[in-house]
Amino acid sequence: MTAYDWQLIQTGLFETLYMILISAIFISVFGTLIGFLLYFTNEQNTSKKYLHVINQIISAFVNIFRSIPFVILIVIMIPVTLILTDGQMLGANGALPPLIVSATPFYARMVYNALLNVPIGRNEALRSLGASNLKIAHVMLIETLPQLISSFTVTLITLIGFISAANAIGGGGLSDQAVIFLIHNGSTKQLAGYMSVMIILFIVFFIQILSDFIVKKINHS
Amino acid sequence: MIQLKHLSKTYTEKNKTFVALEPIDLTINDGDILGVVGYSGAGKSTLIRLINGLLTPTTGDVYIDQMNILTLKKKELNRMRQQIGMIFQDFNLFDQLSVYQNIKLSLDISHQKHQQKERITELLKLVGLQDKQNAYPKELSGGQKQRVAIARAIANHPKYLLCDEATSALDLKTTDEILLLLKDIQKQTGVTIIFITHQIEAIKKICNKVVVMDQGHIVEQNSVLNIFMHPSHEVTKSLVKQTIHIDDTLTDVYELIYTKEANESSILSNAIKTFQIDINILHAQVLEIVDDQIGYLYVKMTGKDIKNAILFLKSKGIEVNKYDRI
Repeated sequence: MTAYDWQLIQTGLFETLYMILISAIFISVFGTLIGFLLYFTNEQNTSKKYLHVINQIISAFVNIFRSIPFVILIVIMIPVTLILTDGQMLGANGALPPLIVSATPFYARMVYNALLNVPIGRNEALRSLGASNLKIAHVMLIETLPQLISSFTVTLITLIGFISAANAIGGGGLSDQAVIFLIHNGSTKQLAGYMSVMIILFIVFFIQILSDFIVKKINHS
Repeated sequence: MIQLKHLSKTYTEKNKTFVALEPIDLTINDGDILGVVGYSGAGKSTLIRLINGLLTPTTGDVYIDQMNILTLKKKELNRMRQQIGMIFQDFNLFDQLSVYQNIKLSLDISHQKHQQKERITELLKLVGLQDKQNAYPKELSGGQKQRVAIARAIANHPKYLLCDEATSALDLKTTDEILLLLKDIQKQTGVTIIFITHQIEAIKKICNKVVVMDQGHIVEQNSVLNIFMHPSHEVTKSLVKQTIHIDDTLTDVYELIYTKEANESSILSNAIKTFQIDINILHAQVLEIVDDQIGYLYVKMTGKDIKNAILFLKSKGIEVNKYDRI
């Protein structure tokens, strides 16, 4: 392995971490919002018919975007991505829009499920105390936080898989680098390729272990 | 005062309708401990959720202190609900909040920022859990969880307390402790309690009035003493008999019910002598009802003049019923 290989790995790693970080921020914010929106518009929570309609519309969107295979989503989203990135399809920024659009509904659904798993009686207890919807959301967020962190970890790890797929079509990042290294069959580049894969695995394990540790620390149920 | 006027609830789901509550009228006076008893599916849980607006009625109105809660705006309803505490069968504490935080929730919602700590300490003392304030619900027993739930429900000094099967998930001893606590709280604060249950045992321990429900109807409404002395509806009779176990195969079994005024022993021996009958006692029981006592005597009566013997017993103030297991 040459110093130049190391440099390539470093650049790839930086790009991968950048993609994880930026999409994680978007996914956690929008996924949580959409999950709560689904919860507060469902029949359990409100008797208003127009909210049920909104619920069904959001639900449909979530299900559709969750179902589209990621590679196809990248292609479908090309026009949108071009607008968002000023015509720069290649590179880390070009991969971000499809990553976020694909993983946000995935996470939103998990947030919604976590909320539905809280016994309905606890929601009744909050309402019987005279809590506003904002307060209900606040308490439900605390109550589901361990579950949300676990779900978010699953999303992040799936996301790393998605990032590799995005890399394959020019998204940059460590997986892209690994593929390029590994294609050099029999050369010293192979070692750099394996090294890149090891680093990706390390990132995945690190996220999982960190998440398990945090959940164990904060969970009281 | 809570007034329910022509209140009903029908659930509609995919063209199927289910009437949970037929139109009912009911007035609950301040300071009452009203028991609402009935088998599951009688409409009790629906009724209690209509009182604090967790459910919206199909017809009718709910007046709380002359205020129709159906006309209230969301914010006003929330303020009203702070006057109406509620506890549940499965406690509904938040697992991720400590005992202290669970109670604090109540004060946060009512924007009671002042002297929160003092109030919570006071509440914990009232329910006997001073040493548990930093514990989490999973570390508590069922009875302790219900104590926390009670503390949370009464934190804002509510005028009313709704209890939805509050003791149904607890064992007998714990049930008694919780009932005693509720009774204590009622005495100290004068809170009006609406206590929903399928256990008539619990009713007789704390309530002063009873409403019996069956299939969405109120079938009987009376003081606790009268419900036990003269149950008139079949459902009431069968609920009262939950407490007594008599061999079903026996015939000529009579139920004698008496209050403490009747001196039963001499009356019975008089009846035996005068009417030449035999009385075998199968089961005897004294029920403590609030501050009163009711005696139940289950006897097998045989002999010539049973009809007159019964009339004689009745003339002495003893309720006599032919015992049929329902």
